[in-house]
Amino acid sequence: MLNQVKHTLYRLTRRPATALLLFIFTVLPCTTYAEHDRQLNVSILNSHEGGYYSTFISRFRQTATVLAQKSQIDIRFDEKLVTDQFTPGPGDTLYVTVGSRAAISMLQSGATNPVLHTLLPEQTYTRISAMYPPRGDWHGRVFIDFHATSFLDLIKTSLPEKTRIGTILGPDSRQHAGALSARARNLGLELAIEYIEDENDIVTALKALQGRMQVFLALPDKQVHNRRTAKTILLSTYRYNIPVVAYSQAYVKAGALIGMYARPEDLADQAAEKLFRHINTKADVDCSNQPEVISIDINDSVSRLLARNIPAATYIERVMRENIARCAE
Amino acid sequence: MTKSGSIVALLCITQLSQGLAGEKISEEDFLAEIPVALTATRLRQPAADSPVSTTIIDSEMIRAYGAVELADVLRLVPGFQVAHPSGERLTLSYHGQVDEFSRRMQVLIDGRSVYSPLLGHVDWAILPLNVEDIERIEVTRGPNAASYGANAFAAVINIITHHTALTQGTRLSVENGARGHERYFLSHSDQSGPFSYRVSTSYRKDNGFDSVEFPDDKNIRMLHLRGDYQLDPFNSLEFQFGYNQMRHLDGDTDADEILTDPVRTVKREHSFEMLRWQHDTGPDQSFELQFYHNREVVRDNFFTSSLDSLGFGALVAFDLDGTPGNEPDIDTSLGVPLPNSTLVNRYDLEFQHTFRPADLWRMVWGGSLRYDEAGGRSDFNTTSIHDTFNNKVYRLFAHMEWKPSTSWTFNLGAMAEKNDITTGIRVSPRISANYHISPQHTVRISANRAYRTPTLYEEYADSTTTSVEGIGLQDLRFSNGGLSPEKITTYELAWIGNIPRYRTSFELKLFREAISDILAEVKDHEYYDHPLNQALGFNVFDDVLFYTTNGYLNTNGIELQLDVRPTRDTRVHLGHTYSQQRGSSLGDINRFGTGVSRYDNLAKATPRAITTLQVIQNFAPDLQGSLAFHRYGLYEFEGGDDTGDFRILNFRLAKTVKLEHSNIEFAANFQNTLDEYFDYEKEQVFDNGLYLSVRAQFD
Repeated sequence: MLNQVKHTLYRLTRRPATALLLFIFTVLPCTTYAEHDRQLNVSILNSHEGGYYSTFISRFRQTATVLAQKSQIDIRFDEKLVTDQFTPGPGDTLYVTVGSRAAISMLQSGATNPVLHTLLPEQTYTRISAMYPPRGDWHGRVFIDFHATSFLDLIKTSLPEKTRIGTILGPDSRQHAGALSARARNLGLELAIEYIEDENDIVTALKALQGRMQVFLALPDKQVHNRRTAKTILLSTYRYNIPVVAYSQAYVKAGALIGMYARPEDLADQAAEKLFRHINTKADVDCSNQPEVISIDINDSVSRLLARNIPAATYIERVMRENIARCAE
Repeated sequence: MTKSGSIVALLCITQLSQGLAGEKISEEDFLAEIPVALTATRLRQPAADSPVSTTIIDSEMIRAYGAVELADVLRLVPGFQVAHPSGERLTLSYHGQVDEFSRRMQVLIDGRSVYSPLLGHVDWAILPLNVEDIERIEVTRGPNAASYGANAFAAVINIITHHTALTQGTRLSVENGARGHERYFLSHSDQSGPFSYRVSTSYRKDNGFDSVEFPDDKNIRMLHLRGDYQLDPFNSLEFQFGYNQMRHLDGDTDADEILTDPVRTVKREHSFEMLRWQHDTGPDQSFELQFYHNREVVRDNFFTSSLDSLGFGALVAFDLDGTPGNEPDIDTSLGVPLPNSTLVNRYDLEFQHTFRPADLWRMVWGGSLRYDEAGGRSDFNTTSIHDTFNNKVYRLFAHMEWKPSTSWTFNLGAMAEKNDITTGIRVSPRISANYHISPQHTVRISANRAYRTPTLYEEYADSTTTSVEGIGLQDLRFSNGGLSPEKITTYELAWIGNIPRYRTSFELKLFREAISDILAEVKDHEYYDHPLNQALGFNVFDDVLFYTTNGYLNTNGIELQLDVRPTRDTRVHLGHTYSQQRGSSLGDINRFGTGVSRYDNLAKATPRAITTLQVIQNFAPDLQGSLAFHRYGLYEFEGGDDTGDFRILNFRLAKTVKLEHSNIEFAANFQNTLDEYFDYEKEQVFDNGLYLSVRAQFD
């Protein structure tokens, strides 16, 4: 609990504007009364109850409330689970979908309301929006994932002495092969790629990579990385002293050396900020939908065995933040 | 929209969205928990932080070695000796202190202790283990009681098998080679949801040594099952079962052995069951609870030929205690029953908790309850094999690692043990300070103490051969009991280095080991001039042996371990040990009936120098060559012969053919391409031999 508080404070210090606003509008509301010029109805469409969905929504409402008061907007929230009967509300209601299932329902409904899709992978959004093109004026996105090529920058930053990278791509991720190879060349890395169609081929693919890699790069793909295959990958690579660079906090906890990911709380802040930038400026602010706040986790126990000289997580975060393109404020 | 229409629409949306989101990647893939694979117990301590010297033999080294006997691969460990007292038995030593039975090593397979409570040795030939299933062997060179218990005395051999998730598919091996060696291995492994399993079976036979007059053929059947079940991301269960059976010819054709050790077939069976629950909340916290049961049965009950037919009848009847005219009531037309069968059980319950109490600390602590029992009519002079002697062992242990700065690592550990054989509670402490001169170089200074509890046989032995009428014919060994444990104290100064530019890591250590209270097997020549021996011209009544605490052994030496990868395709592993020993223990009393005592020189069991080398070269992705070279200075184990200096050189060449759904490896292994040698008794000679193997792996 203490760590969570410390972590939150740490995050806030990196967002001084948000911290100041939070302070002003959570401590001072008792003494300050703001005249509201407009009213904003936000309907949150949730994919699942509990867990990180609740974490996201709670934080989103909190940050959005603060930003609304700053903009002198009377914000009202409505929350629905995607399994409820979903009928789009009045045209001025702004929808925030949380998770893939909510986004699918929203797009399928053909609603013309402004929508902000959050907490879903870019690939999922691309796929469903191709099937059900968005019809509203505004459809903002805050994706949960980073571009696959960013992980090569991560390896270059955190493990500069490792130049031979191996990865396995499956049906979800094979589309990144070209971009990955190009980025690897630019960074002076050798990238070995094995392709699989089914998770049962994972051991064969790992054997094919053996001897050709110093680092294994885990990229999101349902067939390659799931609860069953992750253990196989981690045990197999550890056997050959090969560290794993991964895309989730859970992967690091399970035994990957380093992970780059976005926390639901940070994505919620980003979503709220994006929402109010749109409301206040009506500008096209979708130049990047990647996570703006990067979290880096290092597994110390693995690091002391496989990569003793890895830089501090804060340093890697700073470098990666500079590498990943962001929207101009 | 009507209500029914709404329901249909909802169902459609739900199913469609489940289809769209469920089959493809979603946010769940980024946020959901994953089972902890590299658990706190699985992650080993880095060499630079470790309080002890360790050698890792991984699966590539094992495979490239092409060992006919698994234990032979342990020649790659600096300072290790591997010897073959007979066709079916191996004995290991680290810095000497050994006879036909290596009693001073802790051997674990996946955390299960496999040394025999009866004699303290390990039946290497019939461990329920296939070499193909081994992921790596971690050898602690030196005592490590603080982590592995009281019998982690001279060294600890920790064998870790592959997780079932890593051996999916079907594997098949066929081997054929010198000395009638044949081996067939079949294994299948599969996964269904959170459950994965592996079933392995093998059959093996050989003719033993060609050089010996007595028969020592053997054949071994093995079945091993392992299952892993992931209950949830944080909890897993592991189950193992194994059964091994060896039939081997035993006995001697020499006249003086024919009465008590005639040629016969002995059947040995080993089996075990193990269940382990592991709770892992991350790489820094792990809780483990395991239970296992080992069972060893040796079926070796037989009769000698009738005493009359052996020509002994009249002599035996003449007198058994040397007093003329006092003839026992014995039927000399019958043979002498020799009930050499034994039954051994070990039950062990153990828990272990690994965690980080603070940022700079790591700790593992735990405890165990163990129950050992052994029975044997001729070993303990009982009327039934089920009249067992037992030993209950209670252990508590803790080990802490503290890294107060980037320059220092301190390790402090201790184990407290209480058992039924020795009195009181004994504490085995260990302490080390590792100073990291730079990120690549560390100096370690350490002190370590461990005890070896007497085995059930050493404590309770009463080997008496009796006639069918129950009359004692021959006393071989007995123990007065009340023995004290052996004690070892070691001091080490080590330099652990890593030179990334040359892909080189090494450890150079100076060591001093002091063993005291050695459990000596002492010969009493009480029956040397027995009239029966005099009449026959050889000893029917052998020496009487008994156990007592008497002796010491001090060793000073230097040991190097070097691992180099000069290129991507080349691996070199080198070890060299130079040591000097001084030590003795009581060997004989009443020598040749003269009443004079003699002390054995224990230092003769250890060579002055041992060199070991393995080179693995991948000439192409599908072509691998390897060599192993070992050089030993002369030594003589207790009960063995002076080996003289000898060298061993083995070559192996392996070609892999990759097919669409399978890999097939063809290998030729040329063993001992230099001169003949023996490593125990001069009768058991190794000459050169060729072994061929085919290994197939099907997806």
